[in-house]
Amino acid sequence: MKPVKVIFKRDFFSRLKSPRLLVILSLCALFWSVIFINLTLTYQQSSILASQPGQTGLLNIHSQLMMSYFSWIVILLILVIPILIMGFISGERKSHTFELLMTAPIHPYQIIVGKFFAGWGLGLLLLACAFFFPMVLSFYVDMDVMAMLSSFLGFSLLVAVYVSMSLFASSLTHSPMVAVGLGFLLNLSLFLIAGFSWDATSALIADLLQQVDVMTKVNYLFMGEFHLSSIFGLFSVVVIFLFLSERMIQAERWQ
Amino acid sequence: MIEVKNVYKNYGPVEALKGVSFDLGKGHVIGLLGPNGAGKSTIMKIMTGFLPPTQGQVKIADIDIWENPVPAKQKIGYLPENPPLYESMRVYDYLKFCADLRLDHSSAERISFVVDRLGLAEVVHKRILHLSKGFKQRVGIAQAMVHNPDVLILDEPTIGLDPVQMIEIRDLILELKKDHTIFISTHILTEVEKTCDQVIIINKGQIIARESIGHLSKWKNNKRVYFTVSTKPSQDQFDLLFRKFGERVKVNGNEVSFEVKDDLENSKLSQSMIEIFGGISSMRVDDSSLEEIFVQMTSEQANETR
Ligand SMILES: Nc1ncnc2c1ncn2[C@@H]1O[C@H](COP(=O)(O)OP(=O)(O)O)[C@@H](O)[C@H]1O
Ligand SMILES: [Mg+2]
Repeated sequence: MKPVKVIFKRDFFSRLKSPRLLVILSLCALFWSVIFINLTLTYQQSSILASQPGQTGLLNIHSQLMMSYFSWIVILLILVIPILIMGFISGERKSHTFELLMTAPIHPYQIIVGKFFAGWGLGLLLLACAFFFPMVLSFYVDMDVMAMLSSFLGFSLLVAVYVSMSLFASSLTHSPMVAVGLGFLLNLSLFLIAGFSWDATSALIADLLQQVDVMTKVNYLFMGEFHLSSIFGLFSVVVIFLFLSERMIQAERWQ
Repeated sequence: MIEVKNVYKNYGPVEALKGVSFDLGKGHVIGLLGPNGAGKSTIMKIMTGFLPPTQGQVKIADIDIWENPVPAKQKIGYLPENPPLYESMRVYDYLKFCADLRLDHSSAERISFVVDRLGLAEVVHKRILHLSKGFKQRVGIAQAMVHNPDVLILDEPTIGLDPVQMIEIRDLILELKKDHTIFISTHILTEVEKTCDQVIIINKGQIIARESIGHLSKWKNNKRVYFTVSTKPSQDQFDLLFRKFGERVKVNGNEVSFEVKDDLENSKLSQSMIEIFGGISSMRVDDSSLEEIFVQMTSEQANETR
C-alpha cells in the first residue's frame, strides 16, 4: 500500500504545483462559467414564460438546466483529462525515470494504481471547478440536492473512467502528444458504444455492449437514478483499463 | 552476493548477450570493461530486474530477481546510463521520494548522510533542472544509495563529465567501497585501474576475461598521444625532446608522439610541447589500446581452445 501512496503523492503534488495545471483549470472554469451563465439566463426566460397564465407552470431545474450544463462538462472532460494525464507514463520514459520505478522493490500494478489516483485527484479538481457554479446558484434557488449528489458521483466515476483510459493511452506510446490523441479517441468512443448498444439488433451484442456502456450508466446517475449496478459497472471498466496499462508497461520489457 | 548464470539476451534479431556468467563477492569494486555495444548496459538492466533475460538467471543474495523481484531489488541500488531524474523536483524531495519508494521507513538522517557524502549540501534545495552535469550525476548516484543497498550497480558513472568531475566521482567510488559491493561499467581502461579491484572484460556479448587489476598490466599496451606542430622540429628542438622524454618520444615529420601511461599526463605533455615549440596545431590520443587488448585476448582464447 505504501508504494501506491508514494507514487500518488509525487505525481499529484508535482503537477499541483505546476503552472500548467493552473492555466488548464482557469481556462476550464472560464469556459464553464460562460456556458452556465448563458444557460441560466435562458432557463430564467423560459420559466417566466412557463409561469404565464395558461401555461403548465414550473419547470424542473435539474432536467431543464443542469442536464444541458452536464453535457458541456462532459465535452471538455473528454479532451482535458488526456491532457492532464499525457505525461504520466510517456513522460517517465522520456526522463528515464521509468527505469527508476521498474527497478524499485515494488509491483508494477502499484505504479499504475498510484498514478491512477493522482490523475483522479486532478480530475476531481477539474470537477470542483465545474460544480462551483451550480453550487453558487443553489444558494439562491431551490435545487434537487439528491439529484445533484448523484450527478457528482456520476461525474467522479466518469472522470475515473477517462483517467484510466488516458493512462492506458499514455502507456501505449513514448510521445505525450500521441497519448493525448489516443486518450481523446478512447474517451470519445464511449459515445459510439452507447449508440451501438441502443441500436443493437442482436440481444447478445446489446447485452454485451450494455456491460461496457459507460455513458448510459453515468446518464442514469446524472438524472438522479442511483443503481448499484451502474456504479459496479463503471468501476469494472476502470479496473480493466488499469489492468491493461499494467500489462503494457510489463510487455514493453519483453520486446 | 550476485550470481549471473548463463544469461542470453536477444533484442529481436540482435544477440546482445551470448551466455554471460559471473559472480560478484561482497565488498569489492568490480569493473565491467568493454567497448560500446559490448552489452554492458544490457547485463546491468538484467541484473537489476529491469529487463528479463531471454534465457538464464540472476540471483541477488540467493534470491532470483525475476521470480522474487521485491526482496531482491531491495538489495540493489542502480544508476542507469542516463540518470533517472525528475528535473522539476528539488534534490531533497527527489531523494526522499526514492527512499520512500524502497524503504518502509525512510529516515531524514540517511538522506542527510547521502547528501553529505556526495557533496550535495549546496544544491539540496535547488531544482534538478538547474544543476550542472556533474551534480546531476552525483544526484543519480545519491539516488542509487539512499536506501543503503548491499550492491551498487553503476552504468558508466563518469561518462560525459569533465576531468575534474571524473576524478571526484572516482574518489567517491573509493569511499563508497567501504559500505557497498560496487559494480561499475566503463569503456575506458584507465577508469577501471583507478577504482576497481577486479575487472570483467566483455566483448560482443561474451565475457572474455576476468582479472584482478594487478594482472591487467600484462594486457596493457601503453597509449600514445600525438601532437602536430606547424613546422618540422629543428635539431635543437629535437635534442630538447629527447633529453626530456628519451625513448618515449617519436618524431615523424610534423608529428610528435609520446607514450603515456596515464591520461593525467596529457596536459603536462601539451604544456612541454607549447614551451618547446611555442604552440601546437592539434593533439589526439590514440585510444586503440582497449581494442588491441581484445584482439590479443580473443586470439589467446582461440589458442587455448585449439
Ligand atoms: N532496446 C534495444 N533494441 C535493440 N537493440 C539494442 C537495444 N539495446 C541495446 N541494443 C543492442 O545490443 C547491443 C548491446 O548494447 P548495450 O548493452 O547498450 O552495450 P554497451 O552498454 O556495452 O554499450 C548493441 O549492439 C546494441 O545496439
Ligand atoms: Mg551502455
